[in-house]
Amino acid sequence: MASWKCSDCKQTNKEAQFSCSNCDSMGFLMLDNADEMEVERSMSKKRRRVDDATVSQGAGQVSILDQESDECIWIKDSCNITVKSHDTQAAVSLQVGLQLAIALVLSISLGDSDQGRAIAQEMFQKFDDTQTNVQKIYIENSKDCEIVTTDTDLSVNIQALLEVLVTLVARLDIF
Amino acid sequence: MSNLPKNQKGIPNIAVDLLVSEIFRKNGVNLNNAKSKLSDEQKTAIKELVEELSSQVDSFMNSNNEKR
Repeated sequence: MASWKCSDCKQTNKEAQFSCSNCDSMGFLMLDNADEMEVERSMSKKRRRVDDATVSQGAGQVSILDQESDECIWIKDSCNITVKSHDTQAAVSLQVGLQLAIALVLSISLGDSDQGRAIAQEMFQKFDDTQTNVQKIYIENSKDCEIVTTDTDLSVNIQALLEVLVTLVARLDIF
Repeated sequence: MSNLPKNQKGIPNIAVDLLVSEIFRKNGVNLNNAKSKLSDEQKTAIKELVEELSSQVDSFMNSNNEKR
């Protein structure tokens, strides 16, 4: 039989127990002589069966947007080259503004409740994304060139957030 | 330097509408309750905020399209 150690009082418990026999804590620390995954699976199954178990999750985990823009432009043996690189900072601040507005509308209309936070979290979770934009431009032996680079992925994201905001206020009869 | 089509459309309205109503339904939100919590003053403020943000998004999208 596999065993586990309580994270609070270090009491060794049998795998079949889902709370510590000494201090009743449900935290477990070490797994002896056991397939870790197996014990963890059976522990979590047992915990789920406890009626008063609560699942708490920080509502602050909203919108994890990981964005990377790598831009490399080589210009070699050339003249009269114009480079226009679109400023993505403006887009990022727009996005933050939109997210703030959505959170604000929800917090006013639903009150500062767990429900409001859960909804806000869910709305932003739809936009959890990682974007990587890699652009490499190499110019050699050229004259009179114009280079324009734009990060369009983000603008689509902004449009989507705006649509959510507009739908939200329409639902609340603000317009 | 984008390979995307020039006139990029956002998500269809119906999808966003469904998303919002599904989230409300799932979390058991009473819309009438929520509506009653909003004062006229707040409604005007939110309306202005949304208008301001959508004009900002519009001008951003336009400047994006012009540059391409």
